[in-house]
Amino acid sequence: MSEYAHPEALVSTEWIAGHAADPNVRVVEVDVDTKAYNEGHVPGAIAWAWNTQLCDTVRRDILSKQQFEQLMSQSGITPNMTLVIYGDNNNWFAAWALWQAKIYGHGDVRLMNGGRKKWLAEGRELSTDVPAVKPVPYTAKDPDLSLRAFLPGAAEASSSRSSQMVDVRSPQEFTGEILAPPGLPETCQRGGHIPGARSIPWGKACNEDGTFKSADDLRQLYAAEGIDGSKPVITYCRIGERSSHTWFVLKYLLGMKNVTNYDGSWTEWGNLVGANVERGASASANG
Amino acid sequence: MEFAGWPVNISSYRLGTVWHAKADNVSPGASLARASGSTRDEAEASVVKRAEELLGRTKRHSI
Repeated sequence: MSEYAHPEALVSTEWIAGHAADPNVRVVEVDVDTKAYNEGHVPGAIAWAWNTQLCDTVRRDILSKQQFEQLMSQSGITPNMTLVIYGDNNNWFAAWALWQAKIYGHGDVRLMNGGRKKWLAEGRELSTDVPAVKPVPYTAKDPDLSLRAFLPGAAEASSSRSSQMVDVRSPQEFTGEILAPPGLPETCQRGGHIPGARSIPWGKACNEDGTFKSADDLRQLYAAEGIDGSKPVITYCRIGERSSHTWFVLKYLLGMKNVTNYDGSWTEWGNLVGANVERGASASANG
Repeated sequence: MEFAGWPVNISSYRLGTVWHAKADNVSPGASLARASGSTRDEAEASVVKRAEELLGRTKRHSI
């Protein structure tokens, strides 16, 4: 069995349990359900709210460099610290946070494999204490936009097939049967997918316990849809968090060099006047 | 289990004295609804009710 391309991008729950008191490690929980942290969390972990602390709350965008520096500073994270992120839904928004930390050049940022689900399933210690954090200076690097795709790049990829697009939403969202996962608002005008995109739902990369599948299984999963890293890859979903999860898999577990996350995703494309949309299942990988 | 024509998985766990239940469907591993209660039955009954409401409101579009 082959190893992940960057095994250092993951830590196990055991590793976290053994580094609870390590002053060079900061553990952060990022959940879809922002109330989950209060139920109980990894002792010593702090929480970031994806909807207020990991985006610009005025214009639609990720954090600016200044906002990211402020978040890290207030979280007591120095540029040299190991940042470990975990969360619910098998690390959806944990991956979103990691993606932004990579964009702003944090040197050592990792996911806890299995996320909150595995920590709970193993019956590990939980705390409801919110640690007191002393702010520290933090200077971020200029954003690495080679990790992020914008609308023009997505449009070019769709029309010229210059990059491969991976739609990681559920099959029902991909076909256009539903406009958003049940329970979430229909924040787009049209259903379907970006022409040329392959449907590989994010959850296929995970085992039942929330951990990532083996490198061999992952390679096989994506290769079956023609995604092998020979061409640039763009991942997208509805608002960019599920696609961060797949972006992480392709870039750090499979080691594909050119992978970008299109965080505008379907809530951008599915609202564009005049944008081409495909409905139904896609053609074969070679079609 | 199926609500409004959608397959649904219910899972529950206890933290201290509180039971928590989750429902997921089209995206296994992603919660559709969450609820808590003092017993497993109470938590699961609440999450079933919430999931039924949400799924009942989800529109299916012809493709």
